[in-house]
Amino acid sequence: MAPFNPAYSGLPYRASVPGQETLRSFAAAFFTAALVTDWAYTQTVIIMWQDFSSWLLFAGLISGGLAVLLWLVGLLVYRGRPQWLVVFLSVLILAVAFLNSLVHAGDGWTAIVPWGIGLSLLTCVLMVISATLRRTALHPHQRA
Amino acid sequence: MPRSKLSLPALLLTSISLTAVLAAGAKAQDGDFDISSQIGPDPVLPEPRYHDLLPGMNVGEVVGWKEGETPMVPEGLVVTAYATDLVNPRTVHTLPNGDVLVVQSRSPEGKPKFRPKDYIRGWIMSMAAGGGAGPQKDTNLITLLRDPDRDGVVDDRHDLLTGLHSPFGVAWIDNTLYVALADGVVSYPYALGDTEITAEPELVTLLSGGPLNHHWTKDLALSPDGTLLYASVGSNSNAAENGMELERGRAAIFEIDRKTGASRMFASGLRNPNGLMFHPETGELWAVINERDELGPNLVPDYLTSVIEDGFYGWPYSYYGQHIDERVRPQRPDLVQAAIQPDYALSSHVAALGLVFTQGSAMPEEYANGAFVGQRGSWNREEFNGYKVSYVPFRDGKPDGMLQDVVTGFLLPEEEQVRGRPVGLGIDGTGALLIADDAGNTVWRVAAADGRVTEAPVETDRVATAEPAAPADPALAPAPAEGEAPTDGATPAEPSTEPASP
Repeated sequence: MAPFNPAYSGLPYRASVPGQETLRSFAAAFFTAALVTDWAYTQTVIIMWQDFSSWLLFAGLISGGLAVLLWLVGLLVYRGRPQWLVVFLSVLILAVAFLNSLVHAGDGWTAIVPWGIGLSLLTCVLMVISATLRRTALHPHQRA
Repeated sequence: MPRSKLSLPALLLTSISLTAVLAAGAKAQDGDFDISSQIGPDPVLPEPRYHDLLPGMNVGEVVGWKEGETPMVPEGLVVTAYATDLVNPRTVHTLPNGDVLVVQSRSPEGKPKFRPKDYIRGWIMSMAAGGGAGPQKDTNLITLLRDPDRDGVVDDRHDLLTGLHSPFGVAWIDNTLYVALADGVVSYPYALGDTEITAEPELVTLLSGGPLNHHWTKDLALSPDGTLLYASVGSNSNAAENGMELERGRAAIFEIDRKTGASRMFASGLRNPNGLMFHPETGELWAVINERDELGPNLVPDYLTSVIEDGFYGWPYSYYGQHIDERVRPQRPDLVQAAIQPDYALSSHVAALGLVFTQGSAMPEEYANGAFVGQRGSWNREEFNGYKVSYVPFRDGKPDGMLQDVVTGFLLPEEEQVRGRPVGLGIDGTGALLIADDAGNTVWRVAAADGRVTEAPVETDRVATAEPAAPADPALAPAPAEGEAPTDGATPAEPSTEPASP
């Protein structure tokens, strides 16, 4: 039985497997932190920041991937109607982050500038859009 | 939410075009690139490919040599297995009495990993090394091969030193055997003809070692006057991606006073130098250098070069003179300006690790004035390159003419299988070429088909047996050889080659 959140009472019932939201938040934090460490590298050219970015992207992909797995489980268990636009955006975010970790696997400056940090920024922009869409779906009265 | 719905296709387009741009870069170096255009003094250097999402890789499966299989050689040469059942033989070294030392080693363990990529690379490299499943045989030893009757067949074999710290280069003079380990040079008292070493090693000097020790092979050569040792130290990264603070005392050749152990940097900017050898006529130091990867399949060509005192050869800031590597920050325009263009390119990713000059050997005339180069073979390009021993003709102490592939068959390109990987080269006590085959666990002997041998053994460093050019220090005079050495250590070294009497 999924936890009941009184804040959403009166809205269409949207349950998720426990952990899915946490893992999604982790992924968002990892991908955002990767943008910060990319920026730190461009400012300092200290390799440590580049290594951090690689690991943050890696961790973000793992937690994001697990969140997708739990979402699939939830789809089977709760039979809710998914928001397909959000689903598509989530997959796109993971795809861009994967592409970005391949770019980050390069050596030195050109692994970050311009494509590495550019893709990190794109990932963050996509995450903001996805979050906005989900918020709108949960609070339709705020649409106006 | 009309606004986000509108922006979504735009974002999609952006990400698709981004992928397309990245993929387009990957195409730039493909197609029919002529590898031979990268051989010689003035190689063709395509545009570097900095954004290669999945760099081309092809590691052949190591299958080894079956009974009776050998590498292939052209007419006029014969190839035989000089020693088998070795464990990762890397270098061969001939002593003044004609005995041959085979240095066998594996990379040191415990290399730190910095990025997710390093774990993937470690897995690929273990495939390249072969060995398969199960416990690996003990290596890190030096084996003595003796052929006192000089018929080109090893008569007895002894493990001189075992349990070493990833040895590579060796040198011998004054009853002292110098061994370059992965983190320094040590010496052992050793008289020619001895079949064991029991003495403890003495430290000569430390060289940059672990825990990373990325290019760990330290090669060694003795100066023509016998007083100095030259030791090569490879870089700790591909292109400084582990930080320049890990590159102190690396990508360089050091000059070591063998009596005091005092050392200084002799030349730098050499990414992974090996095969150190003084040219027998000019007295110049030469080496083969592994250049950097991940700029595409046709960059950067490995090279053969003379190494001048205090010379800087570019790494990591530039290659082939002033071709800047944009990956490296902070940049050093001052160093790039001073970077020397090397003498002779060998084409990209061949992994040149062995070098031997043939002057004074018993090789046929067409191979008698030049250098053999051992190429361990590529792993970071789709199409295999290397996996052979080639000959570079010389004239007046400089490369002159096109490289010729001489010993081949280490690779089965159709099956994508590797039978062996040639590394260190040497001239044995009879004047034939020796090849240390690291993956095939064999030392191959390539001799003139007519069976000619040198009058006397030619030692690798050509010092102890050289005519005393400047006998300043009597202590440096060679000690007489012991045991059943066919000639004594004082025999002059420039032996004329002649066909064996019928």
